[in-house]
Amino acid sequence: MGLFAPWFLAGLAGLALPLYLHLLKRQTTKPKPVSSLMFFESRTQSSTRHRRLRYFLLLALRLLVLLLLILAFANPFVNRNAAAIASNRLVLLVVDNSFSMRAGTRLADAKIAAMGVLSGKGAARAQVGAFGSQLHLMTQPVEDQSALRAAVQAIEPGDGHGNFGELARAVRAMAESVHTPIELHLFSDMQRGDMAASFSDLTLPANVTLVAHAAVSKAQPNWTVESVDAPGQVWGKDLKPIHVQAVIAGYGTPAAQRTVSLVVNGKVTATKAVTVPANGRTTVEFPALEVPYGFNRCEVKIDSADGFAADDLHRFAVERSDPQKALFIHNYGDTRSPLYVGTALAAAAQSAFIVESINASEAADRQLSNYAFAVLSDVNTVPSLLENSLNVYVKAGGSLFIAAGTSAGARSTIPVFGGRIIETRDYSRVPDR
Amino acid sequence: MAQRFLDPAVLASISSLELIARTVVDGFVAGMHRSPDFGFSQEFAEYKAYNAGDDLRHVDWNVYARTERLYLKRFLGETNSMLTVLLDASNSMQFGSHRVNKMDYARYLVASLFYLAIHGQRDAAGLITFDDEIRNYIRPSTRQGQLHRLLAALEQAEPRSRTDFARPMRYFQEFLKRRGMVLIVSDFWESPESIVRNIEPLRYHGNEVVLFHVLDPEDVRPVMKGPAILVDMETDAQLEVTPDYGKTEYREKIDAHLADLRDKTQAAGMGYYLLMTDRPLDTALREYLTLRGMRK
Repeated sequence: MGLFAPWFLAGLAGLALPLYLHLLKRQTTKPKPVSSLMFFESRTQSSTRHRRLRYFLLLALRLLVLLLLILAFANPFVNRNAAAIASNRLVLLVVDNSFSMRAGTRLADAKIAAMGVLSGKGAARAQVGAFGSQLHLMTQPVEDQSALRAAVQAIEPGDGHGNFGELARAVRAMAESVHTPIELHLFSDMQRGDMAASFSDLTLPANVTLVAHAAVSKAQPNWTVESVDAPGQVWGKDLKPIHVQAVIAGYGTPAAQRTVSLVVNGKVTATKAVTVPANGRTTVEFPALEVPYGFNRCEVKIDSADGFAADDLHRFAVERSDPQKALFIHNYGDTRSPLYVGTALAAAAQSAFIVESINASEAADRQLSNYAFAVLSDVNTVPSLLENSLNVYVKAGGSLFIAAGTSAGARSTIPVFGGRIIETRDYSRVPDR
Repeated sequence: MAQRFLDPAVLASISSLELIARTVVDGFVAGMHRSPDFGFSQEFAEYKAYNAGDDLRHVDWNVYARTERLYLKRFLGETNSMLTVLLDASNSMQFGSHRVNKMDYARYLVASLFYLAIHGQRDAAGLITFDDEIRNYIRPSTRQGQLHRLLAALEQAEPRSRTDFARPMRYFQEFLKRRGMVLIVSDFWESPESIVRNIEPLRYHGNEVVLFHVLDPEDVRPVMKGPAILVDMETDAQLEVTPDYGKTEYREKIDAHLADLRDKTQAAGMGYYLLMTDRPLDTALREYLTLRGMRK
């Protein structure tokens, strides 16, 4: 034991103050007048003794309070035995219940291993947690073996993706509040995909000791549809064929031939046999996906016949619909603007619009509600009839894109929008001469 | 309601002793449901044959008209008594554990008795204040202004010195030659034997002697929060006493003293009444009226 601020012990001199006060107070008893002392008798001895006793208790309390105050300022500390601290360690049992632990008897094996560790630790303080995408603690730190065993048995397989980085982060946070050594027992299938993005994320505090228990002795082969590339939307009766590309991957697998099927609305529309190299991946292409109008449920699946049936299938949806019309209103004689906009819209992969270009004077009699959106492209003058139609169209929920260009200088307000044009500046690519 | 007005603490807020006396007496009388015009002169006593020199105002002319003989109509109220109060004005009478000390209480009491005697019953009243000797003497009288003289003497009676019945009592007998009532108001811090021995001679002239023993509550039940040094107000002697003593042995002694004093005074044919200063004044007034009635 020691003191962080031993100089506060000088305050012990202050203990003399209550002693002095007690001695002084004994001398200043105020005499009390009475009518007569006729029936009083002196009790000097007993009274003095009584007073000393009572004053002693009061004095002792005052001295104790002062002493504690001084000690509090001196900030004492205790050198605890390292062995004693070590014996108070926390055994943290973390069982991986991510999706991969569903394979075979991995989770059951992990639980059995955790039970074994619990039995070996005897009456040590322990805590049980389940680890998927994040750490879920199942118990408080307790020494009750039955509660700990029940918690291990209660761990259910999850659908999450294991993340060792998240586990390390949770243990780091726990170590900030638990100052005793932590013995971390991790029961997992140790999948490579569970690794954190950077190795530094796996750092554990100094008082945490990691004991890893692999739940599998050898790699479990797994073929999976890793990814599918297909358009989400197709327009009208597109003459271009719709390509669907799928990547088939194998983990811990030998080279093998797999059958890949393309299913549209529950019907197999195409089947291909591919050879997946050992521990590798291969690409399968379905050149022509035929889907009817509306939303279609599609999937690519393989006949992997491995222990992970759930990843043998990849679902995606494709919608087929007609392209929509867009009205492009421009100045008379302006041919460049429709060309730019039409080309830009045609280049967008996920959209299909048929652009109808028209000058402002002809646009007034168009039924705007037939168009997905309208563009007012730097028009010099907007006929009032057209402006009214555009106002009605916008108020009814229609979309209008107004481009204010060089012609805006001739106007005081933005058409339809109504905003005032405060200032215009023209720039030219041709330098002044 | 009357009891509230007789509370000594309430009376202490009244500065005029006469007003205090009037408040006490009127309140007390009202409390007894008796007429405030309390007087014996209204009560018929007897007829007496007229003798030369008798006051013709008292002749019953109705009787004369029927019998042609002169008779005087006599009333009880005409047989006046004489009241003398001996008031202890020693230092110990200054003691008080609450608002009213023993001297104040004694003043209220004696003033009320004087008021009742002079105004109510037309008695002659006198006062002797004493400590270890006689300090003041107002001769008993029914003269005009007697009440004011008595009340002024009461106001001036400041406690000092110590009580000693032996020395002034010799002179009391010289003053008390007429038969009457003698009320002694004191805290009686002396042995019962000494008190009785010194006071008993006052009865020899046929006086009714009554002791009004005025004590403060703390005289009987001293309150001590811890061991304390007690100072005698009359002798300045000091003594260190424990609370335990005050709660046990002292109480036994004072109770025995009070019982002994009561027994001895009553055995000697004197009246004895203990008055605590936190109690209303009714007891003393009722005792006075009882005695007054007995003398009739």
